[in-house]
Amino acid sequence: MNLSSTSKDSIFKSLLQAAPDGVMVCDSRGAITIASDQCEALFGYPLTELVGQPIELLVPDALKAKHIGLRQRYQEMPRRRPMGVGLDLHARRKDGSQVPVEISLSGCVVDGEACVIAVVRDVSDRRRLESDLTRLIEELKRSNAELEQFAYIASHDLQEPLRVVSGYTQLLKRRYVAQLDAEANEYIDYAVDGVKRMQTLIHDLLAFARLSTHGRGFQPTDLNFLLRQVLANLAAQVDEAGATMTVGELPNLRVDASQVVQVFQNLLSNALKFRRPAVPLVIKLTANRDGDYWRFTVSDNGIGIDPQYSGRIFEVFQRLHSRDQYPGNGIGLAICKKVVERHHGRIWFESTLGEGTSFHFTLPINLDEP
Amino acid sequence: MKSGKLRRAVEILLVEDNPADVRLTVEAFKEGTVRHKLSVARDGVEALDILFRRGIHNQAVRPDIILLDLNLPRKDGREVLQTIKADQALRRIPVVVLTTSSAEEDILRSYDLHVNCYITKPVDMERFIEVVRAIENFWFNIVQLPVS
Repeated sequence: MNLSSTSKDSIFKSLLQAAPDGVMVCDSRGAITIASDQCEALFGYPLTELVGQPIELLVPDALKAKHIGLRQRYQEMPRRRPMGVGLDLHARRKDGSQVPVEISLSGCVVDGEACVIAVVRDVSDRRRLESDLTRLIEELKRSNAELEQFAYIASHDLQEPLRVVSGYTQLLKRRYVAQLDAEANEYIDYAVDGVKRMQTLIHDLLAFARLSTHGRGFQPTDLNFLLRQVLANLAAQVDEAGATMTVGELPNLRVDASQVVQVFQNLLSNALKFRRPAVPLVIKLTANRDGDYWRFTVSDNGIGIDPQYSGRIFEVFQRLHSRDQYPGNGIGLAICKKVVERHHGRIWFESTLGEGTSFHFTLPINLDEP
Repeated sequence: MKSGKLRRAVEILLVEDNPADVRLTVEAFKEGTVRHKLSVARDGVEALDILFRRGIHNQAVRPDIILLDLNLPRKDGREVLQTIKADQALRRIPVVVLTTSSAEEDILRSYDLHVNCYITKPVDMERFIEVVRAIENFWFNIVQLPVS
């Protein structure tokens, strides 16, 4: 395409006005000769008040004198300078306020005169985001430190009074059993039982809190090996339930093995626990590649989960049954969810009440460090 | 006898600030079979005064074993442990950390400071009595203690 010089001129003007950044051209004395429309919003000056003015009009007072020197040196030896990453620059607006900017410079020669093209970008949004992000990270660090402190208190200070209560009630029973009647002994048993439950609650809460504070790195792990450990742990329960277990081939993945082992353990132990008494229990564990993830499924033919509770079951200490029916504190699925999410996966379930449940979770095939 | 099992009553120093906890340990030892004398230090400073026979404790008997809690007033158990294990004479006395803490950092720190063993006190009294029996049996029937 052969363009006439008038067309070129019109394209140049359109380009100038279309650019999202403020574009200015300064002559060899540092006076603004061209300024794009964006400069009005950026600096708060009408274009007519910019053109002809020295570029120092837009430099913060503290830097004005230094800027003249810098500009003269640049004009002696102009070279392309890209947007100043890491350079904390500010421009002065008409109302005296300062706006954080990035500036790219390049030299050009117009009618034999060395000129400078400056492209100025308003980065206040980015700066604000950066400082918001820094503040959020600080807050997160502080809340993690508090959690750590809480975890220590839970592991030590809260246990001490509990130990005293249970110790003395049991001592009472041990030493005075002959002098107490059946009812008194029953009260003591309830008191001791309450303390023990409180202790497991504290213990579970601590284990839950430590998933994020004491997590280890992600290491290549043979999940078949992990699962063999889990099945050995659960051997007695599998026997007792008379369960038939089918386990598919599992992949090797980069995971925190100490945590993923808890996911398998909790899901399988739930399947063993919530079985239907009259139906022979069948549990299946499968793994299937699904895009960038592996999807694991633990299915059972147990009592199923009423869909009305679907929102609650992954929350800490949520239980759908009384302790007499099914023991437990309601921490298992909360741990599963936290571990899976720490590995950037997802966990959910499908269930038909009275027929069985399938828990699914995903783990990514390529996991970077946590 | 250069070393070996003790004929006299075993001297136990219990370092523990909570009187209710002290009493539970005393009662647990009462259920044991080893003849013992149990003295109590209520904080880290008192424990070290007893061990170094300072001030009113200048007649204190050197214990055969020290049962040490970690979180103590004035000077905590970690500092007491560090001081004991840095002293030429005291470092031979077996120190058993006996605490409610099961925090990994406490366990590691204690072994780094050369504790002889670390025990988390069970909440269950029956279990605690078993633990105390095991301490007795191990340290006073099985182990050869240094005799000063």
